[in-house]
Amino acid sequence: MSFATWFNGTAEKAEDVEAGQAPQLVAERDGNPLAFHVNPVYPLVIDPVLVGATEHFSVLRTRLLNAHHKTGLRSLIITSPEKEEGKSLICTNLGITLGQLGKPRVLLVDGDLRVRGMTELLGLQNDRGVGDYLQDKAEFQDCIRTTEYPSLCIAPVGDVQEDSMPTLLEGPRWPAFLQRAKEEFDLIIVDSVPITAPIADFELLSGPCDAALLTVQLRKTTREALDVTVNRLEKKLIGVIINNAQAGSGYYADYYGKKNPYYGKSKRKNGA
Amino acid sequence: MATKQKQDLDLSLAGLQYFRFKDYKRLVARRKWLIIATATLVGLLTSVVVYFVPNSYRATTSILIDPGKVPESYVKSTATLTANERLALLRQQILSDTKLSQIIDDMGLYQELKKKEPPLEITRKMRDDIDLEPISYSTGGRADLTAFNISYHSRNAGTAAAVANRLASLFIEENLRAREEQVLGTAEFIDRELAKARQDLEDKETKLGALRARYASELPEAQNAHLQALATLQLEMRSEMDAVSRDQQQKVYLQSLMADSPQVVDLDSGNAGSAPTGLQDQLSRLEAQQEQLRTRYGPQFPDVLKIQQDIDRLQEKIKSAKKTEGPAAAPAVLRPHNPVIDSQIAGIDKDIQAHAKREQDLKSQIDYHQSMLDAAPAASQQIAILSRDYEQAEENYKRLQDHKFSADISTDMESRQKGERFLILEPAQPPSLPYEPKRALIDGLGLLAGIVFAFGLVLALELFDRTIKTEHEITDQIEAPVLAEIPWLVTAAKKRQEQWHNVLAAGASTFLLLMYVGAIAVSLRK
Repeated sequence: MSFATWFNGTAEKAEDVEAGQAPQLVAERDGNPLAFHVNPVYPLVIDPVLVGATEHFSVLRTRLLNAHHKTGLRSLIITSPEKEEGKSLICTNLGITLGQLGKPRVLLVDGDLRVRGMTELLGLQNDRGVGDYLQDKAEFQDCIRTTEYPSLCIAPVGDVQEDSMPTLLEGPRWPAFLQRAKEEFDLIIVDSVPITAPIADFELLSGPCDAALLTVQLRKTTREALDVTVNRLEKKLIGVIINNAQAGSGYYADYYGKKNPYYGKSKRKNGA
Repeated sequence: MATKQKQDLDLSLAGLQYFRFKDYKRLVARRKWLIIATATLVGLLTSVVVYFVPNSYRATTSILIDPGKVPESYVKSTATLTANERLALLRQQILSDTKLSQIIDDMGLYQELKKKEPPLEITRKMRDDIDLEPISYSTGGRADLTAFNISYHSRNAGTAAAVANRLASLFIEENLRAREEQVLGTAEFIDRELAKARQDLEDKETKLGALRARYASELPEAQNAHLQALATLQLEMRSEMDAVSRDQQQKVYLQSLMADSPQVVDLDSGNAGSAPTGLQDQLSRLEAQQEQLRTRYGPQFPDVLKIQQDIDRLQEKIKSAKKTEGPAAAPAVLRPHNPVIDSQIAGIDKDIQAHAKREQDLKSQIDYHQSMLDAAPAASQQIAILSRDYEQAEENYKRLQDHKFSADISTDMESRQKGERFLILEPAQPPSLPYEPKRALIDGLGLLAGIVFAFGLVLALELFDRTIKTEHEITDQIEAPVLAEIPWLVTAAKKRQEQWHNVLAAGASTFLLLMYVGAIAVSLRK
């Protein structure tokens, strides 16, 4: 199955998704959903200043949903070649955008147990989270935080000790977490560690995931890191998100006109 | 393999191979403040440095080469060097160390240099400061030098003008002197040559005169006279010979006449008739005949000899007859005798003698003339050689005289300054603006260099930047499609901060620009 083909498909063929339906378990458990506020440091799509940027996330959302519907993609890991390339921010914004739509039930998981970017971004440092589940200190439903959007939930890092980290993701607990999440959510998006980080976290995190998305920040990612990333991600990679692209560059018009990767590439692949 | 090679290429180009025009535009927009600041800074530094470079002034005198007031076709000047050649010569003379150091001393130039450099170095420096620039325009494929400029560079405008004028007047003076010298030299030389030629001519003339005197009679001109004289003498000779033969005939006639005439007894002898007259007559006749023959043919003639025998026999007979007759009968002279004819014959004999003498004279004269005619060629050859030499000498002399004539005119022309000469067309004025450094040009070049440097800097920064800079670079390496391109997201607070940075950069750049404009304005004033 080529990754290219499912992005442009229509949602009609996809299985029905209950619109606006919040995960029952979570809704029962917590009466204090997380509200998103304008952040002075991190630009979230709810910020009226960023009204233009919202469009880009909408495009991303549409394509992702197409993939989800067509291929039955359930779990997605978002990574980047190097650290601080905007993974957490993109994850959060993508989550908010999906939540605004209210259609598929989405769980955002902060898989970067060391940097815990998304957790800090949303101010959920004191909440229990995926780390607690991995250490068998909490039940699944205790690790989930509801938000102001009924279809969106978030699993922060939780309480993780520095020394326990290397072994935390080993073993069956992480796949079990995902399995458990799939029971209640349609789409699980995992914010992960950079690929070139000298740790095994990414391999462990991505193992049970269906696909991977790569975030590349222009003028931040080095070419060497990208090379390494491309080699490691060969199979799971379904798409790239370019961060810090020049606004209004008309890249896609240019892209279609000159390269036409969808038709050109898939044709070649089909023929082969 | 291919990817590996591609990676190497990536490393060397730093991703610039993925750049499109748009990307470069973006790059420039991104780095605009850096570019403006760098370019301005370089420009500013250039103008500051140029400001402190001392001014050099250049003053120029134009000198016209006046081709002369008398056309060359009328008077051929003996100053034969072309203006170009003359200028080259003058340049050597005037830019010589001696002349220059004289000017340096007179005008007090290079005071500072004098303290640390040797004199030769200073004159060399001065030569460098002098520009000699011929101005020629071509007429009909031939470039004529019509004027030239003398320029002098100096730190001081007044000095520049003064030295340029001084040099110009030197050129004019030297030119005049050189021309006069040449013309006078020519005249003098021709004079000397002329004197020599005259001496030569006179020598040859004397020699020729002497030769002519010596060979006066043998001269070719005398030949005709000799020939005439010969003809006359030969005519005379002929007439003399005719006269002699006529006289001989007359004589023979007279003798025969005498022989035929009756014998006349010589009464005076007293013994006439006493001898046998018949024999006597015979004897006389024979004797006369013999005489006649002898005179005509000489004594050995056979007839003469025969007659002699007859005579001898007859005389024998007479002798015997006389003996028989007796001594009484004295033999009378039996020869023909006629006194008139005798005297006539004697006259003729005298005549013949005179003619023979005359003939002898004529013969010697003819011989003389003949010998003169024979000797004539040798003399004429000598004379011909000498006269040829003489003619040559004469021609040479004439030619030199012509030359002298034109040389004299040329000298006159030069002394009246009607020949080719140098005129100051425009004396040097102290320039108001420095010739060097050309500040506007250098400032412009500095700014240009700054701009080039700024762009180079930006490009270098890109090359050292190991990050991915364009979307193309990602799509080229990753097969997976691009799902989204998220622009740089900034919060309102961050945006304000960025704007503030922008304002700062713009302010700094504007400040630099203003300083630059100010520096240029100040620099160009100097």
